[in-house]
Amino acid sequence: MLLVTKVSKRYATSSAALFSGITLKVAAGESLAIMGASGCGKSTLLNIIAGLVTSDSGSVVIDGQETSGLAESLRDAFRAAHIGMVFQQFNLIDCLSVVDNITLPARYLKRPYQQRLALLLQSMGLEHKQNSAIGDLSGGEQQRVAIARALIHSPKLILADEPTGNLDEATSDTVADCLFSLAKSHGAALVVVTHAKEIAARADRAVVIKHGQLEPLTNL
Amino acid sequence: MMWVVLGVFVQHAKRHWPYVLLMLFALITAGSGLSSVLVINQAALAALTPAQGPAYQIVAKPGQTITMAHYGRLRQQGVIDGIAVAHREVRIKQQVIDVYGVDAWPLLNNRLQLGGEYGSLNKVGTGRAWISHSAANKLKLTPGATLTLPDDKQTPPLAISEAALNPLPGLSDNALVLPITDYFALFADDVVQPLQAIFVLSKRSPSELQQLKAQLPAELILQATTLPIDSQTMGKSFSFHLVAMAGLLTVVSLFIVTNALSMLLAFRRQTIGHLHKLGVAKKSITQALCIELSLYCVVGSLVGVLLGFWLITYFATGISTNLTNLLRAPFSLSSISFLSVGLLCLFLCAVGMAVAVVLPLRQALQTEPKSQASKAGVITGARARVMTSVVALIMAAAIIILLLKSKTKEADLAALALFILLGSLVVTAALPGLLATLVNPFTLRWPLLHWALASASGLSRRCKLAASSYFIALVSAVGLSGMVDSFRTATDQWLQQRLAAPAYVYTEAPTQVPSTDNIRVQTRRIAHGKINGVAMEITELPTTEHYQQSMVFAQSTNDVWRGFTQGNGLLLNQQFAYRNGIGIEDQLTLAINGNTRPMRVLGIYKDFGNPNGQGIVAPSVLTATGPGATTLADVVALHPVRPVADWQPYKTLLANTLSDASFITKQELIDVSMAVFDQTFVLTDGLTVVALIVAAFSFAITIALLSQHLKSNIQTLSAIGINFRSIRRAVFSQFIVICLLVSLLAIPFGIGLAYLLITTVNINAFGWTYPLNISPVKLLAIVGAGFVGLLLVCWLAIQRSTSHRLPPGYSALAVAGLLIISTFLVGCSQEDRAPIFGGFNQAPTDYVYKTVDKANAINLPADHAPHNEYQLEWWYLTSVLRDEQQRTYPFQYTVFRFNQNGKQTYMAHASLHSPDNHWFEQRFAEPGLPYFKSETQPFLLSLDNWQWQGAQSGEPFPAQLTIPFWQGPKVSVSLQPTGPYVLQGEGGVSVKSADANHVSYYYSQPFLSATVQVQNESSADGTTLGTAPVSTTKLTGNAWYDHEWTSQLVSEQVNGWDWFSIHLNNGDKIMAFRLRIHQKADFITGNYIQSNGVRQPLNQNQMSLQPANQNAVPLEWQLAIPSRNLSLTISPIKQQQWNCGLFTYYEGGVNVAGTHAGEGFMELTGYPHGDEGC
Repeated sequence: MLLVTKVSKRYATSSAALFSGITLKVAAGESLAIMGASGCGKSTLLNIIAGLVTSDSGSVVIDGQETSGLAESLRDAFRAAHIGMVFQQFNLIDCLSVVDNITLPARYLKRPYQQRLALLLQSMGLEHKQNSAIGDLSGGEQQRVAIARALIHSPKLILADEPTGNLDEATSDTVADCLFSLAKSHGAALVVVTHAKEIAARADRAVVIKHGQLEPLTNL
Repeated sequence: MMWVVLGVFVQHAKRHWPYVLLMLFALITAGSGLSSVLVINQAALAALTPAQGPAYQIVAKPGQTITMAHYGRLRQQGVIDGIAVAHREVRIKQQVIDVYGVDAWPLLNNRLQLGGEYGSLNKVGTGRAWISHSAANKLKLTPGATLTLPDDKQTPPLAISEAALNPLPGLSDNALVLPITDYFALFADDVVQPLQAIFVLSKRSPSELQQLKAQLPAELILQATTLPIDSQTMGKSFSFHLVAMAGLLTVVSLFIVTNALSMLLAFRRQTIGHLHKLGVAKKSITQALCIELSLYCVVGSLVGVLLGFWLITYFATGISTNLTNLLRAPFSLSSISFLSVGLLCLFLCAVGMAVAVVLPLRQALQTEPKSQASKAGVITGARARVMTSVVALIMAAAIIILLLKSKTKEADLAALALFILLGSLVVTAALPGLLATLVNPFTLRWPLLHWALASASGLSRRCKLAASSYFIALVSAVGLSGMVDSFRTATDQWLQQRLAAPAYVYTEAPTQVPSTDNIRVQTRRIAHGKINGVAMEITELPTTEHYQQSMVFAQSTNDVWRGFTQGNGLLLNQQFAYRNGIGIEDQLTLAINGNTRPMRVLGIYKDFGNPNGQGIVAPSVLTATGPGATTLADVVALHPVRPVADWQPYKTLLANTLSDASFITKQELIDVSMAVFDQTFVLTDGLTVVALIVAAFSFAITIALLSQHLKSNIQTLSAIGINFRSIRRAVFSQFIVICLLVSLLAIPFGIGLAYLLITTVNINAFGWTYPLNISPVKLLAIVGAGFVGLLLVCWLAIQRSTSHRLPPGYSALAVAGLLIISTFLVGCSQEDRAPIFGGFNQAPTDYVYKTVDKANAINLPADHAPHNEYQLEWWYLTSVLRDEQQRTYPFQYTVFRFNQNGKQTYMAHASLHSPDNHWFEQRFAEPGLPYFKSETQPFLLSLDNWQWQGAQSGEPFPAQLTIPFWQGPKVSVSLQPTGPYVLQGEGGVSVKSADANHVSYYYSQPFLSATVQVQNESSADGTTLGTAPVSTTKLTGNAWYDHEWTSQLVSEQVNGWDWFSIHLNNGDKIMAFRLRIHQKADFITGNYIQSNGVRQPLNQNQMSLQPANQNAVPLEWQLAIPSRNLSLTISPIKQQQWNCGLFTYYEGGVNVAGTHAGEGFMELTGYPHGDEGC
């Protein structure tokens, strides 16, 4: 589903490499955790995969489509259709209700969403909150809304950047359960950037970025 | 602790400097907008204020005549604030015009406190004519037109300088004003040169008045003047607009300032919260914030005010032209109190800061955690809505009470202000709700639009203040424009109906207007009577059906014409009925010439433009009051039996019958009236637009700045896969929606404001009302222009809002910066040169001036006399005097002669410096005026009471100079020559440029000994010479005299010159001169004169003369003559030695040090900063 080949990125302000020659592969329904020290380039790698940032070299292929060479507008369109994203800060639009936030990607793509919305609301335990304002939700609820939003349009790849970074332990567990189980049940590939070993342990595989290189992580 | 907090805020400001700059820009916008509008208002109101007329007039006693000879003697006795006015009626282009001869030269004396429009007469002095608006209309003249007058005299064409000024106090509205010398040249048959009066401009104390009376000959008397000034109803309406505009922009500016500062606070809220949580006291945070914001306020408002002043000064000429040409109101920056305007702007900033700081700061320092509900805005919103509703209801009740109960203009204005604020409150409260209603399932189909609308609702909450200021400006623009449009339509319709005849004749002999077989003449009688004891004008109305149909009633009885014809009732105009609480069917007592009779009010008619009460009765009523009780009006209606295709035969007949008759058709009369109407409101329309632009700009910047809050939203939308272009469109669409809603909501409030203005304020202010009639096109134009302007700024601001490089505010900042820079560039593109003798600019003509001929050397004593064929000449005396304490008193007296295409003008300057004071005055005259004398046997130059009396031999020396300052001491100077005259250049021909194009005749008398008496008793302003209250001070010293004439010195290429006369202590003298020619090397020339009179002409190879520093105005100089081992440093005795007159230059005493010691005089002309110190 996802094939990253020899991707490199330098710092914006110097010629030093943030990472270089990173290659990874994630199959449909598989989950991969990316770990590493702060500033090692985890989020940058995720943004390169999402097409939000371009790499200096290498290629990103998602579902057979090489995205790294696409123009920005095409990358945007590809991302809208095939990728769901979850952020540490939830990035919900506070002027929209829960349901409007969740359905936003599907509505944008003009895809039917009612059936999937009901399923997601139920899975996330958000049925009774669907018309609430974002400001009325707890942190865990907000992240569940963000996950539902990432899944509403049936993406083939889900990218999550520190999805539990702002949550307490109990809430993290709940949110992680939702994220991993739903991704698997929907057959989507999941790439999670995290500091938390507990989250990484839930993934099928885990890697770490060290000295700009990707290494497998086995001792979780 | 406070300083630490302040340090944090400074760091925050440095990091987020564009926001600070934007906030400052908003303050500057408000300050400059407010100050420029206030300045224009002040000047326009001053112009509309009835001009300050002469304080007194000197006239002849009955049976006696006042003449120019009287005038000359009085001026020579020191009555220099008197101006002669002669008058006669003249037939020009078959119209009778009041032609005045006015001596405008005294008006150029800047020491006289001249009021209002008298200043405009200055232009008369340059040999042109000035014409009143009314007379210009009669003669169909425009500025620059030429006129030959009178009809029966063959005179050269006369250039008309101004065609649209208010009537001058003391002169009729039908005036053509000529310089008095031209006037008497035209009417040379009147050898005694009789005057109408001598106007005395300045107020005098009782003792001064007594002194003036004692100066008058037996045949003249002094009268205090209360010259009638016509009521200017349109002027009142216009000044009402101006006051409204000032109030409006003050409120708008207050909102802008408050908004800008509260936005800055909003950006700081997180930092403030963090500091507070760290334990920093509220007091320290508040103090630090207040200091920081105060700094911004001071800087922003000062820069804004200065920018506003600069803009006004820069555009003063254009504004002045518009005011004078369109509004008949001269514009003068001198009538403006810049200090009060500046202080008002500062005060406004302080109030804005107080409002901005108090509320947001309390929120930021809130320590209690917000409840979930309040976080979502539920409870807070509900509470706010309740509070808003309560406040709105209270305001609405107050408005209704004020409108119903009060009958004063002030209460009405308060009600209107409340109405606008209520609208603002309703709009800002309703706007988020309205936007929220747009976020509905229907819009879900367009997710980006859906998001944009939802986001706009939140955005509209945050930009309440800016939206309010824009709303207020727009409502006011729509309201004022609606009122003016309605007034215009009503006036036009009223005129069409009221003017019953197809043509009219204006004449002072209405009974002599000829009638023909086809044309019937309808005269009209007027009586001054009383209704219920109130004085008013009663006119008659023919009872024919034609005239009945011409009346436009506001109210009338069913049997109005039956009762009117029978003489049982009368008609009253709206203004009289309203002011006196009179209604239809009321019984009144009409009194004319002692005859009283009861009358019923049958109708109340519209009478726009008339400030006075008026009643109309049937002709039989006036007849019954007796023949002596009525006078005929000066307007006669012409009613043709059959339609008239060509009025020319009748006009010819009229001209042959009556000398003063003026014919005008109905349509011409309507056109003139409506043209005046339109011209009156041009400026207020302009000011409305300024207010709208300022508010729109601030609103747009605010929206753009606040859209920073959308950054995370934009990031999310982008992550979802929505491209930047779509996001940008969505962001822009929410701006559109907000701006559109505010604009649309302003329309009903604007219309409501227009309605209230018409139905309440107009009644209380003017006594009349008219139907609301707003042009949809104009309404759309106002709202549309504001809307488009808003969107333009928003569009520019968001151009980069979705890019990763710059946040939205930066682009707005860039736009603002570009605007400012371009404005300044336009301003700086002007040539930075000060004109020499700028007050005497003249149009090129065929007149040929005589030029300097090297073959003809100076011939004394004949050449002491004036050389009228040359363009420019001066007799120039300078002296560095000392008192007994050896303190220096630089003194200068110069008489200039200007030849303007053959017309001679004289100007004298007198300047005396004491260690503590400076007196400088100027006088003007021309040959032919009785207070000017230029004679050679003996030498005499005399202007007013300034006199240079030379010796019998025709020599200017020995001489006695008598110079009484109008506001200063009397200076008496005795001059004795101690050496010979010295010719400058070769034989007195002084070459002043390398190409010899600039050359003059020039000789000097550097060997003069001066003895001076300075008497203080003539000081009118209480200043004394020096510090001791002495009455007479004796001074002595060296003096230097120059006499120079040329037609080849002043030109467009000459930037100015620097001239020095130096008395060395060893008795030798030096003259040094530098001419600065545009884009050419400076030219230096001079003369070294030994104490025995032997001279050595110096050129620039033999002498160097250079400023000692790079100052804009070089006051320190270095002079060197190597061949004489002479190196001098020249420095001014006093720094401030500017002579501020019709043209400004630096002239004063200098100290000389270096290889030789001495003293002297320095003259610097043509420096661009020459107005410093004036």
